[in-house]
Amino acid sequence: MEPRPTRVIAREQVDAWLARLLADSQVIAPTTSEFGDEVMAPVSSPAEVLWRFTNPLHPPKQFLLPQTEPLVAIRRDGDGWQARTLLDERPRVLFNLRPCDAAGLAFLRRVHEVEPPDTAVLRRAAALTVVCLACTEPCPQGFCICSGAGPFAVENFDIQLIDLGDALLAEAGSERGAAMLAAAGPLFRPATPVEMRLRMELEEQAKRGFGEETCHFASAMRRVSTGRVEETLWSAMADWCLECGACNFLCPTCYCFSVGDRCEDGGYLRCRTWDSCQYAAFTREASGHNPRAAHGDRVRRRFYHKVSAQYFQRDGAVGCVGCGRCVEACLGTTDMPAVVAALRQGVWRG
Amino acid sequence: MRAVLTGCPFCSCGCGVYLCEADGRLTGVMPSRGHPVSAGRLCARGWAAHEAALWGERLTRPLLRRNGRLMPVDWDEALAAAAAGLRAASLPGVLGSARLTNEENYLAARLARGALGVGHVDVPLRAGYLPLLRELQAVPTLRQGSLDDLEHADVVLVLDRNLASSHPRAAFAVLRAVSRGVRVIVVSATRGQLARVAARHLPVRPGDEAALLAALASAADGRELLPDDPTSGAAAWLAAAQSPFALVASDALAPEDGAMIGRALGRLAAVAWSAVSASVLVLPARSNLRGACESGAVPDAWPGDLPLANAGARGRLARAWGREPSTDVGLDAAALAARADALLVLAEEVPGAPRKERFMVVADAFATPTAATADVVLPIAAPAESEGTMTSAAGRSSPVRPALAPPGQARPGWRLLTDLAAALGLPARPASAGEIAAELAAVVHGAGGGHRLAPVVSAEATGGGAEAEPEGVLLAVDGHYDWGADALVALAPTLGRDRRALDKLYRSGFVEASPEEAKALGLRAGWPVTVRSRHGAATVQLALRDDLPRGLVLVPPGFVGHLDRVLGGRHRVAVQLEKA
Repeated sequence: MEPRPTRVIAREQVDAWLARLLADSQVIAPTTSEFGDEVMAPVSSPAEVLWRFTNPLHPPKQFLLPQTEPLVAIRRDGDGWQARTLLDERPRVLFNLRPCDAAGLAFLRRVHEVEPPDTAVLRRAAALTVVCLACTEPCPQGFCICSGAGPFAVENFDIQLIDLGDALLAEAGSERGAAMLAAAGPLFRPATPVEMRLRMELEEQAKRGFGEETCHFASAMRRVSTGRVEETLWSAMADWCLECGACNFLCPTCYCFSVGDRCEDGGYLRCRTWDSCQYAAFTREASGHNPRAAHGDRVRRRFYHKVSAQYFQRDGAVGCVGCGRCVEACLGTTDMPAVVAALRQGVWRG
Repeated sequence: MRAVLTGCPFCSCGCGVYLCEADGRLTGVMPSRGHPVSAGRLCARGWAAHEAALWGERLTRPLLRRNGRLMPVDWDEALAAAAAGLRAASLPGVLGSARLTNEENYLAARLARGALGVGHVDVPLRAGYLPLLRELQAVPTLRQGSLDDLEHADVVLVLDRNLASSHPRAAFAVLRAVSRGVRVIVVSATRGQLARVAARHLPVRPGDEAALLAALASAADGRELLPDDPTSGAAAWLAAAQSPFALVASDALAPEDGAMIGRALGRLAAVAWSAVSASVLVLPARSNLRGACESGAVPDAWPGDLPLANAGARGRLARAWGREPSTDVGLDAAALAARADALLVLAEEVPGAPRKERFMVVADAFATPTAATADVVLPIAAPAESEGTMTSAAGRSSPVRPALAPPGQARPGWRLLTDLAAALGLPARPASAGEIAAELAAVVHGAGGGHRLAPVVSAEATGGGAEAEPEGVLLAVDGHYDWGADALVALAPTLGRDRRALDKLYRSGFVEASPEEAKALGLRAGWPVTVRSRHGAATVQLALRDDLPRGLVLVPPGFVGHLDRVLGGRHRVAVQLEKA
């Protein structure tokens, strides 16, 4: 691998750099909402950006796949109707994004590039700049090390920042990132060998922080992909799932959707909306027949999509970046690590 | 993009949800990690809290019925027509709503008792809930518990129907308790999700809940410990509990049974838990039902659920309203629906069929079936646009914050209610949601407490206990709140699908039975079945449910219309099933 252009910015210069980014585009960063939660939201000043935070519960996926996404405006045109495709190409910088979320965005981009490509998503993706902040310590529920998505990013970013204390190391992961560092001019200087060594130590230290607690995708994948999971295991798990859909909505790699036409000003707005494979209605057919009527079948479907070898080959990764959001948001106990453990052991313990 | 943290508008668990707004439209929701009840978790309904306001058919202009049709008019004309119709009535009534804030329900009471001078104000869903709550509040050793307390209890008794769908956050607390090893006892007619994971499931036929609780109390008292009785093991757990918790899904119980079940549970507590710290949580069907009751939208109490005989409260209300409030015990919601000659309906569906001779004013955010039958329609804010407070099942008050302004000419509910009261001649006129909250607090404050049980004049007899023939097949209404018809569900594209599918699949109605029942009758899923009771017969389709025992057939509350002749106005009835 070619060495990445790596630069350093002094802590006291970061605000000046952020101010420049804010002048050029919308900057979305972890910030504290007026109600006290850490959220990913547009910021208007460098002071609003958080540097020490637990990864916001609501993933930055919303800036690539909004929960309600207008796709087509349908308006009266004389005696007929006129449809206008709506594209959102507003430049956005996702700043201090965690590596797991950067991996999630890259996953979604790959999925939507598959023929036929999804223009609405890809145009929005093309206008996204990813400035991620490497995790120097594991977050409370995270297991990104198991899916190769963290704690430091190897790919999927334009710039990766590493907090060295009084300075930040900035690695360019794309031409766009390198150009951004170059454009910032004297705010950045070349990294010293000592700083490069410190970066490697921080990464090793962060990895060690995960300890023995991991999520063993490989053995779960073998069992799921070769039909070695008992039917009863899925129905047992289903009793511990309340079908809230949070695992889908908060998952950085989930993208199931529905489409509906919303009345507005005498016309219609065709919108794509988030949907959940855990809802019975998601696969219910017009006849009333539902191929996945049993709750256990829906749970199985989700994890088959997440960890089977078939999908691994298609998507190039397991459908999990190890962010741990499902652990925190599950209105039940069927989060990814719990289910993977059950698949490996062949037993569900609730 | 703006995100506003507000109370979830669906069930009564008291969760918080961020409503996200961009360019004047709602775009979605976010969970709040820091919220004391939901703590980052939301159920399917919570995840769709933005949908009805965004997708649903909204009321945006005042409407007045002229020559049989609802026509747009300006606010002054609509308010004058509403006031004139209500004033002219000999028996006017006001229906508050669990969908509205505490302040709006207080203003509903103010409108009835202050402006109209009658006690006829009620919330439609209150019938089973409030008597149950009051019975339990009268038990000195029981304290109000929260869902957090439930997880840390040592024995949990759940009176369930289907908490997993009616109150998912509460079901989650039960799941967590089970996984912590807490002895969870689920009392329910069906072997549903919680019954399957709990340590014990005590099956009960709808209507027999109080009898089962009485049996548990006797057994816990050491009097009737029969080793082979399935209740005896549960009773032993209840008797040995150090920090017991009772969770009651009030919508699981027939409204007429509320007080009886409250007394039975109170007796169990008195017998088994007199010396320990016992908690109880009664879950009302809908978000702010408790708040509506405690804000005065009930026919037999002042705001704060204070007795009408409380002279201090009357004096405070008279000062706040500039008028002596009515001290009459009013008619309840069912009686008002049947007998009132003018009705102000706030964001609710009116029980029973529309009556042509009744003058009806409907204030709602949504174009509901009830609004379509109104003489005057007053557009108000949806929950996503409202400001005020709401009260959870556990009595926790939380803010309702507007994520955006109401559409078109719609007004905040509190403003409409002050405007209408002014049109009816009430002098004082609070000018903001905050002022109303302060007035409500001042009116309730300093009250002596203590609950009384003034008789509520009830609707003509609906319900009553189970009929004879306990060995026969029992047809029962499955739960007493129809979420499928709730505006916030029906108008949400994601949430409304289940009900729309049922409507399409079972155009002539259906009942649910166990596969064994169907087999014995020689019937399969979807086949017609004739259901016959002493009141009458109907032929509907058969749906199968694995979690039902034999001898019990259920009908969801949204489909009882097809079985009216069979139920004869009751919530459960002995029936015979025949192949049609």
